[in-house]
Amino acid sequence: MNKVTAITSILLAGILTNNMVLSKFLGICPFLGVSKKVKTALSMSIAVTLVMVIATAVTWPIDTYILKDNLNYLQTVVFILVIAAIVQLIEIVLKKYIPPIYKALGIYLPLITTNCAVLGITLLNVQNNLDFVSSLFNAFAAGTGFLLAMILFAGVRERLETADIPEFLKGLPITLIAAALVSLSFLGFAGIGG
Amino acid sequence: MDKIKELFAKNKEIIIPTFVMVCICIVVTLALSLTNSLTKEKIVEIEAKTQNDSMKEVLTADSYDKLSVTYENEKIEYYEAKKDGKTEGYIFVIAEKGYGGDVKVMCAVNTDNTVKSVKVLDATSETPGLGQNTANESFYSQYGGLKKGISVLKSGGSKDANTINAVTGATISSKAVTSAVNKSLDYCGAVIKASESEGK
Amino acid sequence: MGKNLKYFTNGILEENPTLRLVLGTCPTLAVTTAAKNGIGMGLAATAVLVCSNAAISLLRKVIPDKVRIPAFITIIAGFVSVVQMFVKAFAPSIDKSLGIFLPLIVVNCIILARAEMFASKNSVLPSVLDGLGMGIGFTCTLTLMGMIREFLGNGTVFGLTVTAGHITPMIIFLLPPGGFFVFGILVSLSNALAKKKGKKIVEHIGCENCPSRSFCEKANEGACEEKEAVVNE
Repeated sequence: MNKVTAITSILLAGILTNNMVLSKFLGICPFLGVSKKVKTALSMSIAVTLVMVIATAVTWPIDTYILKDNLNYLQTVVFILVIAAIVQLIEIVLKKYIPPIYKALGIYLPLITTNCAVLGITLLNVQNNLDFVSSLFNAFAAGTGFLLAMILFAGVRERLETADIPEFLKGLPITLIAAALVSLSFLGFAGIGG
Repeated sequence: MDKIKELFAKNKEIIIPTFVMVCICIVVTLALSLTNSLTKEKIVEIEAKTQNDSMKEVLTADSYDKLSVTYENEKIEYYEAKKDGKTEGYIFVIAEKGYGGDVKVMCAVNTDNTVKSVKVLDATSETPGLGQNTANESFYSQYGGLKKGISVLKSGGSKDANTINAVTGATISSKAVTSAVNKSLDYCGAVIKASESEGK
Repeated sequence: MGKNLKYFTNGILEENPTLRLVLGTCPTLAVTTAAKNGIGMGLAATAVLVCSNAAISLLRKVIPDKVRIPAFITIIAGFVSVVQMFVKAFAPSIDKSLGIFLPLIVVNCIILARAEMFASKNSVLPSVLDGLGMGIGFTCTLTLMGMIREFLGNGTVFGLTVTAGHITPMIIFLLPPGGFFVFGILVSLSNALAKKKGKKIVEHIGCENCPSRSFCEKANEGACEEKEAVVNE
């Protein structure tokens, strides 16, 4: 398989068949919490994608050149600290140099440190032995998949607001059932299961 | 001295948090390396034991020697199973890309390059209820006795020679296992060839 | 003593982390394809929760406010790695089936939320009891969900055959949509129960129910949702 096909398949898998949120259950908290409006969902997912790609670019070399052989047991601690530091740095840099973007994305940044999709994707990249370029594309694909799922779901939720919902499903339950239906549609990309 | 004190007082806001963070990191790292040294041997031992048990299951023998062979410029590791000094067969452990991640397959091959038996070691990255069912014996026992170029029939197809039935709804995972078995047979061909030329 | 008991039972029913506080949804949905996995995940998280609550409560006066969150995360990550190594050494099959969700306990919102909301403000004993109660509440919900999904999707409970072989299992319950669906129904049942007792139902709207509210510095300013609302007006 040549490089282009390999990367295309990584992108397709990350966005559609192995969607971060809807089939791997990573990043459910923001998926349920910040998906009430399409616009908020969009900004949040862009911030997540940005952090995912940068975090992968930093953690992959650390894991490959420092931790791999003897210090594997420090992986979790090092990764989460690196992610926390990156999020802080991005916040500072954006605030100082690109204020309009900070205004749009800034409020989501503190939420991203504890977004399991970010730690999840960095761990998955090194566990699946992807090379550096594939890892970056994989992170990008996962972020885009997250974005797609968030926006689709935010659209569904905006419609839900005007819907006549049975009394016992009001609140979170109807959100979860709507999520079930959205993830059902994503299952179709694989032709049921594998 | 006073200058240092003054500097400290000025930057207290920075120095104390940094110091506390560094201390916490050091303590955590020490605790982890301690736990690692306690559990490391046990983990290696368990891995070796599971591997050994699985090898005994697919091919009974007295000893398993870890060897390697070159196949199309790639170094392939395998185990040679010996019983009473005679080679019984070869065992390959291959990870093949399935639906959600790698599927780990152990394949024992007879000296005439036919499948002795197969065991799916790890299919936990596959879909539960579908792809994970490839780790059931009813699926992988189908491979026994087959030879090179095994193909997968979708469920419901009639069973020809040298084919296996896919797990219902899990064609991709079934194909991954089959591809691992076919690879083992290819590698084994190289092993047998090498041992024959050595014999001459 | 009665007060201490309250800390313990709080997490099991009234403030059940999954059904009432809606924390830790990722592992709740991901690992509950079998009852056994639910228990494994629950116990691992409980161990981390109790240890981290105890450690953070002990250190609560030492850790400066500025580096609170990173310090908490480091301590939690340390305990998670320890648990991870022990699980690998003594229960390798659990390690395999939990996969990536074992290290991901680090970012399980329950643990950081309890550290921030409870352990950093209370002494050691209440913190440990709170962690234990929350952990047991989490374990019970996960096991229950695992049982339901395993029963409907595979016809077994804890690996024991119940209807398998007689009735074709509905595999959809093991797949992601089934996870969302079962969780939705469980929350609606717990809501109905809460309503009967005159408690608030879980709406999950705005900062009030955001899993990260406890450490989001902007939570009180209304952060994500409020701003939108203002714009729309």
